[in-house]
Amino acid sequence: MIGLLKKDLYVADKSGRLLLILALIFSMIPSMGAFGSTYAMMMAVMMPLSSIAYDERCKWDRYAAMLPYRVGQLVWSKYLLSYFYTLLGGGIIVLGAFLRGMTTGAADWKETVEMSVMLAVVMLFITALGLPMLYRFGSEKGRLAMILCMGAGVGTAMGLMGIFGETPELPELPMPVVITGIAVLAAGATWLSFRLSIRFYKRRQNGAYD
Amino acid sequence: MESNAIEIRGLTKRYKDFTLENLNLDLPYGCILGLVGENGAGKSTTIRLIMDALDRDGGDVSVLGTDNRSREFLNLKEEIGVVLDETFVPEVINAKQMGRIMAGTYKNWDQAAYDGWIRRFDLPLDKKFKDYSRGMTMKLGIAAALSHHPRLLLLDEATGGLDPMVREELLETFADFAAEEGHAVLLSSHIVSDLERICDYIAFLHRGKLALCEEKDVLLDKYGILKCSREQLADIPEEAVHGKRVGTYGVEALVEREFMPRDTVVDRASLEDIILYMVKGEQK
Repeated sequence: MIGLLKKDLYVADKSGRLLLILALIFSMIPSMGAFGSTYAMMMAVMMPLSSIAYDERCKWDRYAAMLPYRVGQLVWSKYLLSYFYTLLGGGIIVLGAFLRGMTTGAADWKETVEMSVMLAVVMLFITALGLPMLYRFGSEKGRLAMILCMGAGVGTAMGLMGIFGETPELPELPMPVVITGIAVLAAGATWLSFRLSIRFYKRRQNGAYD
Repeated sequence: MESNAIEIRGLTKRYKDFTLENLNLDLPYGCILGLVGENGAGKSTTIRLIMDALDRDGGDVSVLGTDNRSREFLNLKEEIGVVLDETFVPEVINAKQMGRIMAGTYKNWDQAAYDGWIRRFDLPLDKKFKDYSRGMTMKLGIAAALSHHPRLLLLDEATGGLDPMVREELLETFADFAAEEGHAVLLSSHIVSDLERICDYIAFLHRGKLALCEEKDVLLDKYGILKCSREQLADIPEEAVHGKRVGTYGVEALVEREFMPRDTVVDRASLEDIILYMVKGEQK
């Protein structure tokens, strides 16, 4: 598994570094606010996507099938890559806030941490949604399918808000219950996503989507 | 120890437009088996099926004494070196990084051996794959395949598109590898002259079917080329003729020596002759 992650990090080397620097710059600019943080987290989605695109171009999966890896490991490595960059994105948001605080003299740590955690959770769900699509449709069409699904999700949410009012009434729940609920949902979504990704990966190996 | 490094029985794989049908093949230890066939004959499919990288429609494959669908086969892959017809590694990777990737992949990875192969093949460490020639790419694939001390080498068109000097060097490497105890090599190629030089056994795949599988020396002894007139050919027993080429001045035919009259002069047939005549023999 380490070999797979190393390969992905080597592939992402230059573009990854550029994205990191840009994310840090955006996070440091006070006027960019949430955009900088969102940009930092978007890396988490961009990197596995670009890694799968590289794999497709050189037909890495044909070589990887000869190596002592299970299909599950080949697929899971992309999830790990996404989680690695999510952590890195979170780190960049915090570092950006720290540097911003040093220059402006004020940093809202509570807001920064809340923003990082919220974005990380969102990225967890986007990863769970996106990777099966990339394995099913390939990096080109999968990217479009992912954007369509995300757009449909946002559209549905906005539609519901339009029907039920701007701020729908949500029941007040204790924080541990909310956190546990989100964690269970995220774990369930990831498990389902992983099973689907394995299924699509195997079918692709057998030429089902050629 | 079992006597065969690879045993294939009734292996079948069906695609929409191609079927690898009922393949039976053995590769004994200490030997090099040449898998020859035209493009699309099923050579790469066979290698992928041996490594259980494809779902099959029938048959059994045993590799180094282990069923390749068993759980143990994953660990056994540590002992199998594979070189594909392309390297299939992202073009931004270099040889140094490839070594690190493989070190994180194989438990038996021997970095000193890898460095040794890189030096022997005179490969640059920091140059990216995209700037490699085909010969360099294949050499790197071979260096990676040999540096985890495999017992079995599977080489898919590993010598195709290389200049004669590089091919010579690689063929020597494969022959040296096979000469070590408990080792075996399966080499797929459509360059028949390479196979004739180093292989002990030849398997000829034609349109997804195994047309022949024989010891190379037996094959070369068994068949010969007969040059004669059309009238003379008519006197030859039909079962002796496996293919013919009719020209203006006479006929050249691939014949089986066993069925030939004692006084007939039959020239030596090369492996390429045997295969070409057999393919064309279908139209005789």
